[in-house]
Amino acid sequence: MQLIETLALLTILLPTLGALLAYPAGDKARKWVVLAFAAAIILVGGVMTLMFLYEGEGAVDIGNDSLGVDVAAWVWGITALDIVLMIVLLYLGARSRSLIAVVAAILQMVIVVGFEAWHGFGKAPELPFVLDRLALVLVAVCCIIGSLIAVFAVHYMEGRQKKGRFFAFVFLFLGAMNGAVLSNELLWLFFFWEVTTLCSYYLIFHDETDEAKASARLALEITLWGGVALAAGIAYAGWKFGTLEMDVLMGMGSDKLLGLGLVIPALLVVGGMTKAAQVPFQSWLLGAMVAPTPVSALLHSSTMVNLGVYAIIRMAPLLKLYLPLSYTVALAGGITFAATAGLALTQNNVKRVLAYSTIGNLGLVVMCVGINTPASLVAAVFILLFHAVSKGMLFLSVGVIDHELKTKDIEEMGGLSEKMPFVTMIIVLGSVSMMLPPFGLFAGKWLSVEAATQMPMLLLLLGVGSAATVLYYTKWVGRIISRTQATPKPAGPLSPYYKVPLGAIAAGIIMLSILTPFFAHSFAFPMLEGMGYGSPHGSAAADLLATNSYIWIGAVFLFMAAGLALPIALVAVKEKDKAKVYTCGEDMEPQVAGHYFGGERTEMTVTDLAVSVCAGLAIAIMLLPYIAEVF
Amino acid sequence: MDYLWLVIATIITVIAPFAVAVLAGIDRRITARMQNRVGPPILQPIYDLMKLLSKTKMLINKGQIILATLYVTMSILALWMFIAGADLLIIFFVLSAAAAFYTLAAYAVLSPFSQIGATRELIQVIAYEPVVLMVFFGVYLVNGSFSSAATDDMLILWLPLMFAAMILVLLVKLQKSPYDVAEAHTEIVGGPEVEYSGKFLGLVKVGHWYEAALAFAVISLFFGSPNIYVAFAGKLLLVFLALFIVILVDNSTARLRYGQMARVVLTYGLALTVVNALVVWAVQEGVIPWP
Repeated sequence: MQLIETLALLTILLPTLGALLAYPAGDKARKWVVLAFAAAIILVGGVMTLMFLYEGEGAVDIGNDSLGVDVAAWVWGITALDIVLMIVLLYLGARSRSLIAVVAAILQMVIVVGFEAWHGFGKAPELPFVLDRLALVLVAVCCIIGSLIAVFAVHYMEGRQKKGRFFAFVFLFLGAMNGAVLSNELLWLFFFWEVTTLCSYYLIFHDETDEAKASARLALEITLWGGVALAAGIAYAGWKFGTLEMDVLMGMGSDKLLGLGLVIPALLVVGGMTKAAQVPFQSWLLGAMVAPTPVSALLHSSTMVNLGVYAIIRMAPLLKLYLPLSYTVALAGGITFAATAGLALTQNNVKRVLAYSTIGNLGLVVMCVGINTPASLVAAVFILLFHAVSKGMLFLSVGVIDHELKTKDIEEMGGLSEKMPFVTMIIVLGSVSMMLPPFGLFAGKWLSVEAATQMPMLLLLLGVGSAATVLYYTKWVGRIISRTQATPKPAGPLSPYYKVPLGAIAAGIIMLSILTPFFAHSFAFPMLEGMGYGSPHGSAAADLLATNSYIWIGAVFLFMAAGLALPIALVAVKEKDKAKVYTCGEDMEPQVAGHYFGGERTEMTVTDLAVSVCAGLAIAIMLLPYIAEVF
Repeated sequence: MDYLWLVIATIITVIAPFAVAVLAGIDRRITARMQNRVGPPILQPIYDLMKLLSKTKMLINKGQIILATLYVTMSILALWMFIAGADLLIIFFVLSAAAAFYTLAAYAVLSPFSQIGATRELIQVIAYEPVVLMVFFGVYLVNGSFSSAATDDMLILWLPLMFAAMILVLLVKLQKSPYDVAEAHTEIVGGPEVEYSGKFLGLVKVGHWYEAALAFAVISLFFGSPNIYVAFAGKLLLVFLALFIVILVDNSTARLRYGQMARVVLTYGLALTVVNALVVWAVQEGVIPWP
């Protein structure tokens, strides 16, 4: 057994062990358990990533002989846990008195148990886990960002109830996420997928207020139905093609899959859309905002929603077999991006702004997958990675503000730069990296705009969406940096539990952005070839990104550094240089308020419109395989 | 990559604001004539700038100045990239960055007029950015690439409606009536600019000139010819034509409200580009027969 295979399995087992230890531990011991396991998971994830990059292999197959114990133990273990899990989910549905959730849980059980009975219980897969480049991106993000969020939560959760349960589910979440991403065996993917449903339910439920319970219930309903779609897709694959393994399915060729075989990608994409909170399934992620902020950070950056788009990216080669299907997915993604960017304009609760931004960026990923050219898939992976990192950091900063100043309202964040200069800098960096060059997300947007020339209608959605993105981030940042002449009065030193994760992610963002061309050239391009795509060369953006001359992005870095450094170095500010703001001669402190574009009324109208259109598209995605079969 | 060309591009970038200043001087002269005045000398904008730069510095806070400098560097970069022949899409994003830093600088001071102006500036961004993106897409449709390097094609023949849409963008970018909603001197005393004075106002002015230079450079992209002299004369003529239209509109209209501005640019501006793109596509695909 190779070291890298062990490390890959450890990314599943280590967090699970952490969960088991964190649950019963006392307050003091738990702190050490969390810190130790977070450090260990970061180490494992980091070393695994570096080893993978160093060895430069296409994919690491983790076969049955690498599993440590007999494969039968794994198979029976997971099957048994899966059944227990589905019973628990059924119980949760019943407890929250949701008929919708109960029906979904029963349906899942019928499908999975029925299929296993037909297929034969306890059949060992040929190849249980695969660590390829796509999986590596997600595992690395999950291990590193996820663990940093856990560290952050140690301080954030102080003084709150039921911390044992909280940290247990946080760690379990990380383990399940890694398991789902690494699984090649589809039933195992389903199992890990449903574990993340369970974790998200309990984490949203955590505060046990009425609002938290209602939101958890909504999340359970929507994600359970996503699970039904996933289970149905998997069972169909097993029933029609006799295989439950992703790599076999991918290698099957168009003649077999074209027609009704497309039901598999269609169902998996719709399942992925529920997890990724794409319109029309976006409501649960907005409701999830009631959870403690580290949970939001976890859901939005390293786990839950990423799993949804991961499934969709995985299905890209199958979607490509039937372009109408693929383009419908692209359209749903594009509309999600434009609509949520518009919706974010109407919000003054910063967590909701960020939530809409998440949904929109993942919509962009879905759109890129749907366009389905090599360059657009590079864009998808870029946006997925850089969005996860930046969004994790932004949510943690919002967590600090929420914890220290007890507010989530943008209107109350005026003058934050005077109270919390460090957090303000982090937010400025995070927002700039979400929208502007030279940071990594810009490279993804650039590629996606270029790819959208295939479908000019998407270009319109992209143009409006990205302008609106600039607007809502600038509006927020503008509010927190606005200050009077007064000298700063810091709100007191920040806890290292806050400073270290935020600083680490900030450094990571800058480093990753500088490495963008490297990432494109030696990571994203080979990844595509591994997925059966050609090389993205020929796309101007992809070619430019990959060239080592690096002249344009380098120029942006240079000019930005100059714009920062020159005034800092050259402009010395003495008291006599300071002027008062112009207030028509009145001697008063100006009061300002933001502009929210119609607020709730606009939000409702736009939501209704986007939900109806996207629901139509989601139905179309499920119907298109039949059309492909008939015609 | 031709390094000599990068050097030439750098030189052009350095002198570009002076060219725009001359254009601004011409603008003021023509405007004055339209209003039956004599008007200032052609070089007046440069005199104004010299005067501003020689003044003592006054500022509200340092953050404002840092962000304003970032705005200027991003505007310079956008023009340099354009002349050096970079991808139009990167230039699009760099322009976005310039606009974002400009508004952030305005938000950085707690001044009522500056804050209102910043919000209006953002609404302008949301109005003209999609149009600019579509115009770049039009260039892509005709040229087959997003490169900003000039070609021999007469884009204006292919993209007349996109040219009209660019005039709308130019009105916004040059802060001309009816779309001068962000600055709006008579209403919100200069909006984002109200809190600059002396040296730093001069700095921001230079930034505006670079932005204007880029807008004119995009306009010049619409004319091309294999003969370099014809191309140069044609480009210059097109720039003057655009400037003249802008002056004419500026002097014959009153300022719209910001909502009206956004609506007009987003509907008519986008519609012009979409129709034009559809026609070009139809011709290229042979749907519409073309001699």
